[in-house]
This record gives sequence, C-alpha cells and structure tokens, in this order.
Amino acid sequence: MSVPCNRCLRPLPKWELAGQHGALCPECGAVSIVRVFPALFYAPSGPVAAEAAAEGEATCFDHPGKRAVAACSRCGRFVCQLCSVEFKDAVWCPSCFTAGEYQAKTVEFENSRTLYDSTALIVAVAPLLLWPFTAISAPIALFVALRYWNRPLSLVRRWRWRSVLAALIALCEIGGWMWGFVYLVLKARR
Amino acid sequence: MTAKMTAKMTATETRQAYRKLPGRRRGVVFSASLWTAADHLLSVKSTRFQEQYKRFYFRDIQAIVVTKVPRLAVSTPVLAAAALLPIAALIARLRLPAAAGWLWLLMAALAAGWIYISIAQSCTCRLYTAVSREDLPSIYRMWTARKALAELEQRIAQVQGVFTENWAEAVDRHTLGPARLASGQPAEGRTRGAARSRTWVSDIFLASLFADAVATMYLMRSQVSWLADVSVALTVVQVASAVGIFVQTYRGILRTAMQRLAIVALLFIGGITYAQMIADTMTAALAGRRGPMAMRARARSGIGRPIYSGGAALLAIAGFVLSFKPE
Repeated sequence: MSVPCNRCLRPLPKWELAGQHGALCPECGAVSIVRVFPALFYAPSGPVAAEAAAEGEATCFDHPGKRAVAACSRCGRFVCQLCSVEFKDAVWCPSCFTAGEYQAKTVEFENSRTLYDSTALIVAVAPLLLWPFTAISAPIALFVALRYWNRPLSLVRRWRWRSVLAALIALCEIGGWMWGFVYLVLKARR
Repeated sequence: MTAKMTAKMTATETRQAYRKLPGRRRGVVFSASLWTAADHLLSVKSTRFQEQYKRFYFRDIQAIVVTKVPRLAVSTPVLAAAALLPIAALIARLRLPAAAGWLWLLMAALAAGWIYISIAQSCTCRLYTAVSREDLPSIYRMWTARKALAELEQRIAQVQGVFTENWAEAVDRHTLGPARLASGQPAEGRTRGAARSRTWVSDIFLASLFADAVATMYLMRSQVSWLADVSVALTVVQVASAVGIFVQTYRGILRTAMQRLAIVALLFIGGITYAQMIADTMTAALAGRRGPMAMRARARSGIGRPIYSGGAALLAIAGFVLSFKPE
C-alpha cells in the first residue's frame, strides 16, 4: 500500500511521491507534503517465543514448561522470555508490572491528567456569564484551587497562575456578595 | 525515608523536559499541542478539565503526511477579536467617530484575511506508526506544518538515519500504518457508535429553551409578573441541563454538536443578560436614578425581548434539527 492522501484516503501515485514540491492526489486534487522515514521499511518483529525447559533447568513461575530467563526485580519470581517485561533497566514479572506500583514512580506511562487549576479557573470565571450563579460557584472555585494546590499540573506546563487567578477571582466574587448583603441590610435598617 | 518521599524523588528524576513544537489549536473547549522530548513526540489534547497524552517514539514513526485542505477553524483569539472589535467600533462611533470607519475597515480586512488563510493556507496533518494512525490537530496551518515538519524530520533522522536510495519505488511493498487500516477496516476511535444525537438531558435543554422563547414572546405583549419569574426559572433549567450535556458529551453518550449548541446558547443568554444590565444602568443613569440596577436585570426592555425570544427560538430549532439528524 502506498501513502494515502489525508483528504480522500486514496493512495498517492509513486511518481507524485518522488516529486520535490508536494504530491498531487489524482482523485481529489489535494496537494500533500509527504515525509517517509526508514521505520516503514523495518521488518516487523514476530511474537516472542519462550523456549521449553530441559530437565533440571529453572522454569517460569507462570509457565512451568518454559525455561526461566530472568528473575523479577521486585518479587524474585522466575520469568520466561514471554513473561519478562523490561522496564527502567530492570526485569519485571507481569503481576508486579500490572499491580501498578510503577505508576507512582514514573510519568512515562501517564496518558491523562486532571487539570485542577484550569477547573478552578473555569468554575470561577464561566458563571460570570450569568452572575447570580457566582454565589455558588465562587466558594467551589476557591475550594478547588486550595484543596488541589499540591496536585501535579499538566505534564508540559509548569506554572500555577491559573490556581492563583481562580482564587483571586473567587475571593473578589465572595467579597462582592458580602458587600451586597451588607449594603442591603444597612439599607433595610434605614 | 518514607514511601511518599521516595515516590516524589523518583518522579522528579523521571520528569521529562518537553519542548513545544510550532502550532497550537485553541478552541473554546478543545485545545491541542505537540511537544518533543529526548526520544519521543508528545501529543497533548486538552478538554480544559483534563489532558490526554499520546507518545510517539521517534524510532517508531513511519511517515507524516500534511495535506492542504480548507479548514474554517475558529480559535479563541479569532473569537475574541470577533467579539471585541465590534464593541470597540460601537464605542468609537460614540466617542471618536473619525476612528469608527477605520475600525470597520480593519474588521473587514481581518475577516477577509481569515477566510483566505482558512481556504488557501490550511491543512490536516497525520502521523503513521506501525500500530497507529493519528491526526495531529495542532497543525492546521501550512506555515506551522512546514516549521514543525522541519524540526521533526531532524529529530527522527537523528534516531532512524536517512534514506540512501529512492524510497518512493519501495513504498508499495510495505504496509504504512496499522495492517487493519490497510485492509480497509475502520480505525479505532473513529467509530463512536455509542454517542447519540439526543438524550433526556438534551431534550430538557431544548424544551426549556423553546419555552423560554415563548414566555419572553408573551411578555412582549402583556406585563404578567409571574411569566417573568417563569422565564428566570427556565434560564436556571437551561444552565443546569447545559452542564448535564457537557457531562454526557465528555462520557461519550452525547454527540459534540449538542455541546456546541449548549455553549452558544449559554454565551447568547449571558451576552443578552449583560447587554440588558448595561442598558438598564445607562437608562437609570441618564434619568438621574441611583441604586443597584443590576439586581433587577431581566429581559425587560423593548429591544432585549425580541432579540432574546428570537435567538432562543432559533437555537431551539437548531437543536431539534440536530436531535433528529440520523445517527
């Protein structure tokens, strides 16, 4: 299969790919810039086969018929070629790896993060569209900003200005409501 | 040393230094960006409350395809300009009439520029590995695509090396991307069969929007005080059901079109409320009255009501069309 056009998903012709100024799709007329890398031509690696254990040899904890090739760096169980998981310069058995203990120690496998700082800012700012809702949202925004202050931020952002801004806006909103109440009470007394 | 301290230290040790690639998509709800680390490319997709990460190791990237296509992408800077410039022009018309004409001209030029860029200078970018085909939404303009490609090419070449012969001749004999895509099977994640066009929450939202439009229309003819209270109660229902729509869209129960409609409706309701508030305050100030006028803000004036009623009715109709669109 050749490289497909992003617009119509039809394969781009070879003579177009060889050109220097973009490949023109004969089907939809869209021009594509194509960059192909040597990884496309690597031979696909097949499934790892574990060797059968001979008489007297150490065997895998989960597969008693297979030869052990390493011991789990955490629990010490013997693992075969199929079961050994190489991670962070150590060998792990599938049970220890899936137990999730590695997750607390690395950000390399994290695939999502909740952004408490952005949440606090949105909760503080969005209800300004219909201002009476700020009576409820301002304390919530302040709580979120302070309660989750120490939680990790985005993987790629480093500053907590959203939390600070959310707390300031929430404080202003709370101050505004308090001022309003005091004003109304004083007015009613007069 | 406690386990917590150990975890903190190890997390610091493994923290990656990410460098941003050119291009960023900034929508009202959705945003996307690309970052590079020592050995991989990180695609970040954010929905404001949460970020999703995907890593593509330089050694695994098979191809990157950028195709020139028209894209009418409305980013937050464009939205901000579209909202602020007309306000600035209206203020200039009152305070500085000579500048108002220039501002309208500037707006027309910016609109023309945006249309030209959207049609002639936009693109989609797709990245292939042996097991995935991923759209990169942060790259949607040609100039950012060229810059990002140049940087990525350099990084990938450092890991994979460069071709010594003509790859175009050999490309037919290899499978680009996941094998199931090459054989015509649909990509994972593209078929969201579970997402529906309507749910009971969206029905409540549309019904309250429509009822509010009708109530406001009746208010134009008769000054019934309880009807005004009903309108306020319906606005509260709209806000609550809009929050429900956001949650259902996030969980993949409801399609994103209804979420967009809810955002537009909230912006519309909020905009009208503030415009009404400002108009009430200005009327009171001109009449020499004092006091917190904002506390009495509702769709009260002659101009506010038809705009609110018509807008709410149009949004409700658009919502009904979206609800009954084939899934």
